[in-house]
Amino acid sequence: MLITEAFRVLACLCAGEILSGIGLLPFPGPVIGLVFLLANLALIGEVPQALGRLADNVLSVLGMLFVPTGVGLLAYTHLLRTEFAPIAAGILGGTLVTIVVTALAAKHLAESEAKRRPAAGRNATDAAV
Amino acid sequence: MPLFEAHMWHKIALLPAVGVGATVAAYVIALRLHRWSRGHAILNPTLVAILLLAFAVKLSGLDYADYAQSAGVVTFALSPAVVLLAVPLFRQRRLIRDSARIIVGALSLGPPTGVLRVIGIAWLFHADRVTLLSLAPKSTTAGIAIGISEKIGGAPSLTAVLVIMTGITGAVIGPSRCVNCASAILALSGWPWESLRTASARPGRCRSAKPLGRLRASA
Repeated sequence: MLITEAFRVLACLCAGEILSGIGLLPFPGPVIGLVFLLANLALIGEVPQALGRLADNVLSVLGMLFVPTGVGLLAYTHLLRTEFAPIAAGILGGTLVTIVVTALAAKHLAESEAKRRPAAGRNATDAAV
Repeated sequence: MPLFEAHMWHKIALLPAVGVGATVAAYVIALRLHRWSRGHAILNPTLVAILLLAFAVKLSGLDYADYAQSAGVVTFALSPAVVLLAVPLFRQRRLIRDSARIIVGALSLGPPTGVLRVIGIAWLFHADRVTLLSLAPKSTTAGIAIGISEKIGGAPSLTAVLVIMTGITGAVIGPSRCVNCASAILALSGWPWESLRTASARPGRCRSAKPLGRLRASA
């Protein structure tokens, strides 16, 4: 049932927010909640149908959910103006190097995997790249 | 006209229906624009919606705080949405388990050095503390990055926009173009770059990389 699955998600979120809020774990509450839900799913062994539908629907509009936060940028226009160079350099340079390093590492690991287990290695290369 | 008195505007703007409605409306317009441009990376729906609403808020002479309050439900929905990311993750468990070594290896190397590099580059350009803390989590998905930024004392809204900009940058300079550029650099330093080039040109790779790319760009 949809409402049961909504409760499952909110219970995970609640537990995560509490653990994060009291400072027990140094991660954002929703991220801890994600791990709880993942553990819960691993226990059940499959994704309940209603939960799958809920996830597909909510995640299809994920992009809309950080629009209000993004509009808050209005409050930082001065920061954007004075810090334009470091921000632009950080985004451009950082993204470029991150993609290259991650791809190189994945490729290197995929090749060593292919040597270890020929059949699994090929799937792994596809997954990694 | 009493209807257009300042305090009336203020009252109307604080209604959740107005804030949420405006957010959804802006996103629908942005999605239409995105589809009309056949999915151009620069017309990222989230970014376009943010710009539309920023203009609307500015033009109406309201405070951002008013809008943030009235659209609070949308912002709250982000938390359960992040929890729901466990579902696609769990669905891909077989693929993830099969390539666990590669994923763990690539992830333990890529993102941490990425964070250091982004901060390093920005620091070289004399960025201030808030900018650095807002840039640090930008390579994760936006919902998570916003949470991290909040936690470490950055500016969440700056992080949200930076994540989107990163997604767009990644999509525009793209993995294939990036690998080509990297292989050119490696060729100059005498690396076996040809193998990298052929690996990136394999058609199977593009197909498997596409959904991930789209997820990243929309996030």
